[in-house]
Amino acid sequence: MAAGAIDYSELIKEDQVHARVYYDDAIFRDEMDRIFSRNWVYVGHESEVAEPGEFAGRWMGLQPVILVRDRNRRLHLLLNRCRHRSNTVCQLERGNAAGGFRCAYHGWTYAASGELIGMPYPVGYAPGDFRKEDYGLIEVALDSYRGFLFGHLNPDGRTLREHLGAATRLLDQALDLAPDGELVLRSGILKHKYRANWKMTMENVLDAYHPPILHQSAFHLDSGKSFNWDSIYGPGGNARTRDLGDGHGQIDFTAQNRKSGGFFFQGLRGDVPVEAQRAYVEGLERRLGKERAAQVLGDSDPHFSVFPNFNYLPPGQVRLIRPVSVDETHIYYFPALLKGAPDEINRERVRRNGYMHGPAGLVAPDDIDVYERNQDALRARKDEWLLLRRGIRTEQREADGSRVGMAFEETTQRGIWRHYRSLMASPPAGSAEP
Amino acid sequence: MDFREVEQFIFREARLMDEHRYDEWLALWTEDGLYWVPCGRDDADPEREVSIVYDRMPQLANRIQRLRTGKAFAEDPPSRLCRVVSNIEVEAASEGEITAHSSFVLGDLRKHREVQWYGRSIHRLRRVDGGLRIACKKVMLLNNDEALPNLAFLI
Repeated sequence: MAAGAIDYSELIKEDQVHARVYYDDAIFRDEMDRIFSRNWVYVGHESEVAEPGEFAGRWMGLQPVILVRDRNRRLHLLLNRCRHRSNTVCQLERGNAAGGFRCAYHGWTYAASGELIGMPYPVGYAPGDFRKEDYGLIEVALDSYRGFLFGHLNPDGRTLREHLGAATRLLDQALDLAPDGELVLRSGILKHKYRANWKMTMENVLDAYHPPILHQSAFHLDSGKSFNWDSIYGPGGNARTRDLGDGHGQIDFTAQNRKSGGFFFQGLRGDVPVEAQRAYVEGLERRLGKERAAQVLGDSDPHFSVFPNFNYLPPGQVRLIRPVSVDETHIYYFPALLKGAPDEINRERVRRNGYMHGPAGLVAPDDIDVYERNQDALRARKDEWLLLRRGIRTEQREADGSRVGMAFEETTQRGIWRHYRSLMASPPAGSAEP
Repeated sequence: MDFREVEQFIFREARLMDEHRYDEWLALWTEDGLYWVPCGRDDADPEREVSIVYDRMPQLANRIQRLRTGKAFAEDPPSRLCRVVSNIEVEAASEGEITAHSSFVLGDLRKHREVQWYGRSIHRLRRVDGGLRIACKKVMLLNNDEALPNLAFLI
């Protein structure tokens, strides 16, 4: 290990993690390199840029990128940086670049494909000094899993499918709920920020210990007051936490969903007219057959996370986590609509996104406040270990290698940290440039 | 239509929100009231695009019920709020309803941290039993396309 390098095996133990991983700026810089520049990172969904020229301004770690569809409908992920003197060529988070991206500074213009198509006074370059085809916007590796787009700044041969691993099954589960087998993310983005480390939310979304406690004000509204939440989250409860490997994880509500005939966490029953529910089920049956449709409905929307920056929560919310600094994070929430489902169902999915999990939702703000309380408490510097020991002796290994614990145990968080340690301990090979 | 009455109603609504007087604020609404804070852009279609808030009365009642539990931790301790509402324009609308446009600046102080909020509101008011009630309130935040900190109080 190089002098001054951080020994991550000293900071991350199987049963506890040192507070420094949340507040040390040197560790944050390491993460931007070893995690966000050397792995598949979620950047968006194909449906967001469905039309030629449509783009979405995004980030991979701290690096600004543009997800864009060119005139030939091909998708590109481009660094948002003019090749001349370094200037952002795209100022917006969404729009249409049918006319190309033009740098304001000296007017260099790039097609939506990234190709450099023009500049003022090209005669400034002596013959042979400059070839336009060498100076397109830098293209980042991009791959799709059934519409979900991930980028990789330093492709190393590991495919997106290998990266997603067991999470592909859960993406399939979310997609299977759409009568047309596709999800559509064109219904706006709720954007939320907090003053704490990005890993707080990656851990929280797989923490099934906190919901009935932190979120009791939402759980015990009139609609849920009479429900026995312990039957899901408690010691006799039917929810499980699953470490899927590679830092991915799931809170598995399948047993509860099946018990309640599906729809449990979609919560759609009372809010969608019966005819629309019937039309929806018929649509699913047309594509999947009666038996498989019943199974898909029973399993319902999954709750899972793909390391390092993608979450999916029922009903129909995709989250993209954007680290901004060691103690600032943005979360983008996208309603994921079921293609081919009746409008009433999709409208309810859209409404519930804001109602539950936006900056003014009934659930997410309490999580956000807790992350900031976490970060404040990290300033207390005695015995700085955060515990990860719940269920460590009782978790089970499944045949596929995943580990399973009770809702109130810490199986999923241990999975995140085990993977984190393996990524951070590996010395970077070469530069971080793509 | 009495401009003064409308202005006083909007000022009173602002004070009830500042002071977290949830039940009195809820009583200002009509039974079919709609409380809408668009997300991303002011003219989004709330049926097809996600909103920061898009509540009819059952959802609004839940929102208030949650805040009153004392277990809504994002508001524990509660934000101290002070808003200035200005630029009020009143126009008559159809079927005896009144539309009022206004702007606000809101200081939000919680745990030693101050956040400034800015926005414009459109109230659609209706006369019920002699008094004014809110049939629809749309709040267009200046930063509704930015990443927002918690907005767990009434805006």
